[in-house]
Amino acid sequence: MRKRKIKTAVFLYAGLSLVALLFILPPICLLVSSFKTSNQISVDMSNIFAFLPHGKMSMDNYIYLFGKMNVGRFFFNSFVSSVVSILLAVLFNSMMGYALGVLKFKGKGILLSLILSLLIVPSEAVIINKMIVINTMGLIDHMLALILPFMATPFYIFLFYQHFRDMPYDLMEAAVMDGCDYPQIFFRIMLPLSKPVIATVSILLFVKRWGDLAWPAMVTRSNAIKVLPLALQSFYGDMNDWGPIFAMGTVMTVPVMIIFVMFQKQFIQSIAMSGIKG
Amino acid sequence: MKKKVFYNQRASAWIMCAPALITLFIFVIVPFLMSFMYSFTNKQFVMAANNPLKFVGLENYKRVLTSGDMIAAAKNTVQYTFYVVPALTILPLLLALLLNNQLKGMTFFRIVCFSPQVISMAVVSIVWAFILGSSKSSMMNTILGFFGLPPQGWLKDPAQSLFSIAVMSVWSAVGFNMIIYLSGIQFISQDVYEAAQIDGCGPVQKFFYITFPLLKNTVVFIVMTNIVSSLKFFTQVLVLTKGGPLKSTISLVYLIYETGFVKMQIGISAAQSVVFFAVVMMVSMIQSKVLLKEEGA
Repeated sequence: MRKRKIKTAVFLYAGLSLVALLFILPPICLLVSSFKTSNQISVDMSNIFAFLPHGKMSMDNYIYLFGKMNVGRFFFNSFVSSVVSILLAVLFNSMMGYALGVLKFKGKGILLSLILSLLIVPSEAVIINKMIVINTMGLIDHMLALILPFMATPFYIFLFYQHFRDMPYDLMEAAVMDGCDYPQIFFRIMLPLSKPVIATVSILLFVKRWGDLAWPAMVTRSNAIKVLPLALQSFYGDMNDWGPIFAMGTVMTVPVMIIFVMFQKQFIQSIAMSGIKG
Repeated sequence: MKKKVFYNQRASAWIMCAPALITLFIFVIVPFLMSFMYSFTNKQFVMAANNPLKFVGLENYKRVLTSGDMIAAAKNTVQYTFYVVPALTILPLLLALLLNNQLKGMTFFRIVCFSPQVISMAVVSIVWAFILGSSKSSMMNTILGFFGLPPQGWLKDPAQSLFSIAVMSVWSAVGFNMIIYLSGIQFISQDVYEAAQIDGCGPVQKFFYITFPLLKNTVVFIVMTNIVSSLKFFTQVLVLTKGGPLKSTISLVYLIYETGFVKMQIGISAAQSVVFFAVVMMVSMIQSKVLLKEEGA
């Protein structure tokens, strides 16, 4: 019996390792190739060296990107627009979620059904007219165009709403007795108890904002405001030079990977959470 | 005075809703209404002086629904859905079953399988464009060569371009769906399995008599969300193919983007958006119907 168990375990590990390789090898290829010359990459692509350090490894691609192509600036733009969006989105979505989930007021039912119906409007169906709105506001090619539209999202409001709705009401009554006003209850008691939802929303939004291509392509023009995915797309389109392209891809991937490895538990929880409650 | 407002429950509620409501109003509700309005006009991004804004009735819809691009996009989207949805329903389930055991190192494997999800689609696209290169010595063609198969054109071949894009999407989303399955599986009480064990059920019977029936809601959820997200495939098209070769990868969302942003024909793109919205809404409605029925049963 025990022998059989060990045998199954060995098979299982072997199978899983094969599957894991399928997921790991493409990013490894990206990372390793980013240190190679474009010539070396084409030589290596038809053998196992595509995934291994081989030939002359150097930082040349990165020096080219950050020295000549101004990628530092794009990185800064991506970072600032994502982080500021997240801070504002967490604040605004949670405030509305709190009001809907905890407070009692006239009009709550209407607001709730509004949020629920907006849940099914795909952002792709409004993207063109969103651009026209941004244009009317005079914000084309402005950092605010990458931030303002993401300050509130029906789905995140809904996540916060569910979370606050399930909180014990006693908590609030006690706070009211102690003389807290409603925003105080939110900021001092409710929000500190909401770390899992805050993590979920921040993570989902960060992955989305950091990698978004379509929206920045529509509302930004100049290099001063360019974000990383746009730069990657134009590199891929303009030159068939795999070295810098892979370096660019690595620059985009390393920060999210670091955050993912640091917060992997929250990442996986956040997916499970949004999935179960659907 | 200011303090008093915040002791009023109703006033505080509206004040705290205001920032999100204003944002949603400006960036979701207004653009949404504009789509409906503009879809009946000849609106261009820059209006020509000799062609003022006017009501054109159902003209845009007629043009959209009969245009070759729209038919290609609809066909591609359906085909893409057939590639992606079965793969993203079955593969993650198998993976979740493998990963749902008490052996050491499972967390590591879960993290690895999930990791592609956090890589931006733009990056995934270029890495896979490299792997699926059309040259004879590209990575995938070399692998095919090992098995004695001829090199393929992948993204450059109209018959395979959509499939190539589907491969990228599946690779990137398997882990995500696996996690949802896993949380569904872990929701099933261990007692049921123990009872089955005592009754002499093997692992295969356990799967078909316990896991699968109890996982039905999760499966429905996965199928429906994957259908909705397949309707929206776009980034790979924008980065890699621009709809080509021979319109073989035009998608609904890419068509909206191209008509509205590249060609700047706002009226027509608005009509396309409305059609797209109607399709998504229909799928969402079927989804909530099916899920509600399941819950009631």
